[in-house]
Amino acid sequence: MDEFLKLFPGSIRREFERLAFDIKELEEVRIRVGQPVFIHYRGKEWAVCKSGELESYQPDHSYLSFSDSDIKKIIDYLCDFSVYSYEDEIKKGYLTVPGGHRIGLCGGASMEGGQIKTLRYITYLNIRIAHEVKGVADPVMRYLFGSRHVHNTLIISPPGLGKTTLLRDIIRQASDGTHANKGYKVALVDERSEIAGCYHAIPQNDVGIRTDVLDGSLKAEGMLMLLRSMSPQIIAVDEIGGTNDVHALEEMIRSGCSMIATVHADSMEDLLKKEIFHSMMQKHFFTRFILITGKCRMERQYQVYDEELRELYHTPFRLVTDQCS
Amino acid sequence: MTEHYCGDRKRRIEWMKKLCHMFQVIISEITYKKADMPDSFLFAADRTDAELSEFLLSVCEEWKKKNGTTLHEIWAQKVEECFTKTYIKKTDLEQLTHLGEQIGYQDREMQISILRLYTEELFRSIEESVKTYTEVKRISRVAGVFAGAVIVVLLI
Repeated sequence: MDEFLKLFPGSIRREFERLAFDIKELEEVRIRVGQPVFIHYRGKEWAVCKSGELESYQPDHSYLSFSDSDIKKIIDYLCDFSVYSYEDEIKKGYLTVPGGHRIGLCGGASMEGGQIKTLRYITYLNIRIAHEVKGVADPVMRYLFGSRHVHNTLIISPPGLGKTTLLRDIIRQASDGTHANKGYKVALVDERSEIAGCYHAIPQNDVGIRTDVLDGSLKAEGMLMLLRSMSPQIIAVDEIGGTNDVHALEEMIRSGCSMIATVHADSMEDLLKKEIFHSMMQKHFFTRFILITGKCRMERQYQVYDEELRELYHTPFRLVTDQCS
Repeated sequence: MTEHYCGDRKRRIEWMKKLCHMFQVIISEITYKKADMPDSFLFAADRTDAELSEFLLSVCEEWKKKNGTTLHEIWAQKVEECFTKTYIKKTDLEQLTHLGEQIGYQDREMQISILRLYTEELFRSIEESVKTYTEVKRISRVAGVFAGAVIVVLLI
């Protein structure tokens, strides 16, 4: 809870101090200028009352809200009163703070040359609380390692089912080694600072003792740079999708590096509808697929497939709580 | 006698010169590395006089606690704690405190401009103080010589 409260300056912190919740089950805090503050907690959305209680939103009730000057105070505080120093992050629309938490930003954009130069006025915040779950990859690890190599693995999942959490744990275990496998040199391209959650280029999440992190770089350029500079045995990236990403992936695999990547898709059929991935499947770039399906983050299933799309393993997988909205 | 009248003025001038140098280091950190304020302060603390270094380090240490206090409040508090000494004028401290209120709100160019403006004002203040100091020193020397002559005449 302390780590969460440290995100806010004094007067605003006092508003949140009244809230009683378990930080481990807090997913998001949404702050919108002049609108009720909502939190996503235990898989459900709650409006925050001025008294600190949580309830389902009701239009005629009064809730905690913040003005534009309050939000500016939060941003100044988060940026160590050096907003200029965070220009690149603000341009991308997020800040990463100690603890690996991400603050999504929205407001008035300033354009230049058809691209967003900066956000002139920040009036919406999406505070995403990072939850590192160690051991979530335990059921699948043995299917990812061959006798002398690591399978090129693609993790397929719709949004919100813990794809990034799984990737992070796979990276950690591959890097640290397990009782069954030695540790590998892993290079991670963390374009949106979601996996390692770097703050000032220091990972706030455990990504393993043999992992080198390139934070904030575009995937394609990052992969090429890491291949040349860090001699990795495994390269890991999150959310591949563009043509550049796929071409870079091909080059990595041809160079002898193992790849672990994730992609957004609801199912294998959905993935195969995309021409880029259909082509990759035909060339057998990936030899392992992990499909994540489920109702929500709290209850989901992993299915592991080989290069012929034969199912090797599946199980329902529950976290600490099985509450589901 | 000269030392008595001029000592504090001289120390104040020295202090302002060191303060100028400190802000020039901070400006260069912001200009070339886009370093944030706490990092700039830490860098400058390594390259400045002990008294100013202590000030910067205490600001950074208090900031790291992240107990909800703003950087401006910490800056003002530390200016008062570290620099309430006899040779530093009240106006100097007020200006330094006021500078703290302007830290962190602007884009990089504006932030650098504000710090540069402050150092330019410091330079002007140093120049005026040096002129005054020279004049006061001269007068106090003359007064000292005159007083010495009077004493000799009285003894004779």
